[in-house]
Amino acid sequence: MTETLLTISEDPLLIDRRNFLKLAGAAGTLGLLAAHCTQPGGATTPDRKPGGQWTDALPDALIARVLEKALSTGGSYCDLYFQRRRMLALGLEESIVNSGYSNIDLGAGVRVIKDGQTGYAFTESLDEKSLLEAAEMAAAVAAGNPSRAKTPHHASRLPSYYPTGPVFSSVAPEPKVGLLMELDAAVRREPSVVKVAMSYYDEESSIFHVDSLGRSFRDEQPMTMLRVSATAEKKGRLESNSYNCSARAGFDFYSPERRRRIASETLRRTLVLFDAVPGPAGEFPLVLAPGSSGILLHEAIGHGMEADFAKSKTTIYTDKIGQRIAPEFVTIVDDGTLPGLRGSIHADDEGEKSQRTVLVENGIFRTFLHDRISAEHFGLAPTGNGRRESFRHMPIPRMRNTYMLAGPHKPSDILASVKKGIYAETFTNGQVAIGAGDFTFYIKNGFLIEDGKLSTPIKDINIIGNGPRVLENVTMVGDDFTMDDGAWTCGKRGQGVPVGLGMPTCAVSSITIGGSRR
Amino acid sequence: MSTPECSSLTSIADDILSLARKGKAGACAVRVGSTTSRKVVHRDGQWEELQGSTTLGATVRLFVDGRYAVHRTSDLRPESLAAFLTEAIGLTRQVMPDEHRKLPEPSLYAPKTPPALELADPAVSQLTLERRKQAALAAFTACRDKLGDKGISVAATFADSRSLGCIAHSDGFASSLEDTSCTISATAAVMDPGGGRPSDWAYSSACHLADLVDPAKIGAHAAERALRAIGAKKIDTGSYELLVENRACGQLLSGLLNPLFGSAIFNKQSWAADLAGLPVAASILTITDDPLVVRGLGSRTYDGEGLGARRLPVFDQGVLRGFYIDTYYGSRLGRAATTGSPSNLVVTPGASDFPQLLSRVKRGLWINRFIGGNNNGTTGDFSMGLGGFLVENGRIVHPVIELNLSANHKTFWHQLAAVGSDVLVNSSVRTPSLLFAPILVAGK
Repeated sequence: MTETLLTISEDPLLIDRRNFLKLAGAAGTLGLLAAHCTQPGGATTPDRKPGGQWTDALPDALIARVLEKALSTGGSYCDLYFQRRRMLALGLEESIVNSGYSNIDLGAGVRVIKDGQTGYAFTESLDEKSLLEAAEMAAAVAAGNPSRAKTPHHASRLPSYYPTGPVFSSVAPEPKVGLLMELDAAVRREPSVVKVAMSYYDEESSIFHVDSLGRSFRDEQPMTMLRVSATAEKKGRLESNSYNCSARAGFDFYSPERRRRIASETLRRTLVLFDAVPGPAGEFPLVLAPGSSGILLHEAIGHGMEADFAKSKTTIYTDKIGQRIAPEFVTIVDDGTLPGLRGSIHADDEGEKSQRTVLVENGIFRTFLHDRISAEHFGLAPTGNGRRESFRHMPIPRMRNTYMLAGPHKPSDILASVKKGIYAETFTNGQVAIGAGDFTFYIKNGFLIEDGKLSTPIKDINIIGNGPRVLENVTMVGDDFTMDDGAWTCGKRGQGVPVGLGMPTCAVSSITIGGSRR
Repeated sequence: MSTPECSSLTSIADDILSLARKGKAGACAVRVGSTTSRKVVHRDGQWEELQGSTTLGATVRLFVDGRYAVHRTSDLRPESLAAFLTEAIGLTRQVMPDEHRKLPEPSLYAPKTPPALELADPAVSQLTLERRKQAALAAFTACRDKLGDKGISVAATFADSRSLGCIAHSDGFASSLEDTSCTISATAAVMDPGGGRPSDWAYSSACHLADLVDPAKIGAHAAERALRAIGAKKIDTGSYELLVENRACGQLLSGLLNPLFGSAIFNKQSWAADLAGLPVAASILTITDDPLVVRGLGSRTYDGEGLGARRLPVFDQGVLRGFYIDTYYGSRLGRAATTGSPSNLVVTPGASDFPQLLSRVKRGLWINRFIGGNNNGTTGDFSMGLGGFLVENGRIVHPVIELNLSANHKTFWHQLAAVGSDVLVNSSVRTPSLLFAPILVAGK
């Protein structure tokens, strides 16, 4: 089963053949690729001294030469993005932690912009020759007289929304192995459980950005995630489900309380499936549970409000700024400043400070999510949404943590308002076509609503709707806002970035429920 | 392959093997690969992206004291490799022993002289930026011209890559592979008077430059597809025949194949685990996993763990025959390893071309794409959004939106009524269009 993928379907699948084979042909073990290293020896630029930066091997003079080469054809802007990322993953099967994965990813991306056009190249070697070659390739986007970069560059001060430094590499493998063993034992306490599989992942990404405007910033971004899947058997019937969580935080994210929740939620979500029936087909009222129902916002609204699609006029929200697109009690924000969340970020990947951006305020559409190129196109300030998967990719407008603020209604009143409908509780993935506005999301767990009460559980049902129409059809919003902690990864133009979702209980008057019975 | 580039990769792999031996790793499998990629994207009169890169990295699978871990690095300088191996071996010792983690059975390895599959085209390496731009511009121009004043935005992409890979194991196995690929694509967005901005795309992809479709044809085709998406309507919930376009079939087929993987079977998340030898689909369905297709986009001489390329019958006249089993899950399940990863999925074509299939549809849907959705590998349930057209008496009536199909793979594939002859060659999923008997579709 595909997990936690949020995608847009507008672009042709440009996964090249080699990438496809990499994805399909890895003889490795884990769905989550990752790694770990306790010393910086594996990098091209080893630390010069204890406590030194890996970027110390990139002297100002070298950076100046690369910037000069990048602007040698008259680019109006350029930036260099150096990244070193250490990853560790552990896999559990049959109650043993029987596989590990480690990776040190190191490289630099060079971007040159000229009249809204982008030249981009990256290298996995940080020697001068490779960097200059990349700069020359990126410079091919322009064809004029050289322009100049501002020097020296001044480092931006960043806020603090998550811990930095050797957040995970300073933690020995034993507690990580212990975490998986403890959770395995907890899930297996339920006698009907026949299989448990788990993967653990942590990473430390160290970023150094420098641009032709004389700006630079460094950031260290931790990330961890955990996935548990369980299969239970009752009277010869098998059911499985999974639970995942993630944070831009340290290993203390896995608190005793969270560990209890991981085990209990994995079991609850799996065991309820034995009582679940197929969902109905056709248009019904929908009540969204608080938390991960924010997937509705991400698909129905968020992607369509990314400004690259406004620049090309391909989103259904083109020309809708300032218009009412939802009832008065609907306010939706995209926020990179919430401490410890998966989608939070101190600065975006082109050096703009992160912010809380109000997309829809009391039902009025206020702004698109901008990167540098779209902001310049529209003559606006960037909103800190220029993000990229890694140094291998150029930044494009992306969401961070996207959520709807609490509304005026009591969750019990919302449920009571529905005579016959669907209650959607957990989700695995979604997708949207941003021009037509059609979006889907896949409900893994839910319930039928009968006479204002939850009745029979349902499972495995896709919902399909149209973004603008769904917004208009939001009838009630609860006062029980909940931020989700799922390991959501958003895919767009071949790049995956971590994002967060949040939602209060919310009612939609009518939407197509894609069930298999009348 | 014996180019200087390849021998430099091979010597890195040998260095890693020797370091692993010195570090007392029981066994070691190394893959070293290098990929050069280029991409140009033209949108609405501008070069939206010009991209290029060369990557070089090694993946090292280590077996130490009965323990197993995989490590990757892109820093292949000799002075860095020793530290990398020391650390990798140290980390491998931190996981728990598992007797099922081992190198493949030597008799399954790829042969010394692998078959010639023509996967690399020297012409791809000789492409210039100007040639790439010309191809993208030709697709863009043809698309824009065809759209006329209904067009909102057109983007055309030309992308190509060349990869060299070598594999070497501590038991003496070694092999290498070179391949290239190139793709031309166009995406068109149009204005629907009803308010939407539908879009569609077309593409051609191949290992050899000469096998690519003319960029202008791709551009024009993208435009035709986008234009015909104007005027989409919702339709009633009801029973419809489904004619699935060849290029959309991959998503449907993936749900049929997922339960055939060793990991799914071992973790009891496979509805097909016990169905070997039984009919799972109508007898007109035959699917072979064929890594040996000449110039095939999913072709290869060895898989990720060095298993030699062999044709794997997956479904034979509807009967389930083959599973994707790697060495680890083969050992866990007590079965022979086949391969852990698909190559080319070849669906044996039927006799009817697309117009003949369409003419058979009385009241149905021509499905061009699936939107989102997912499969439950344990139970076979699946649910996916649908995009396409309403078809009545063999004629396309209008585009449809907000439709969804929910069914179960265990019964759905018995509904297969016809297999077309229009095989998709642009993809590693080499399938024709598929026609299914009436099934409930959720609409308004």
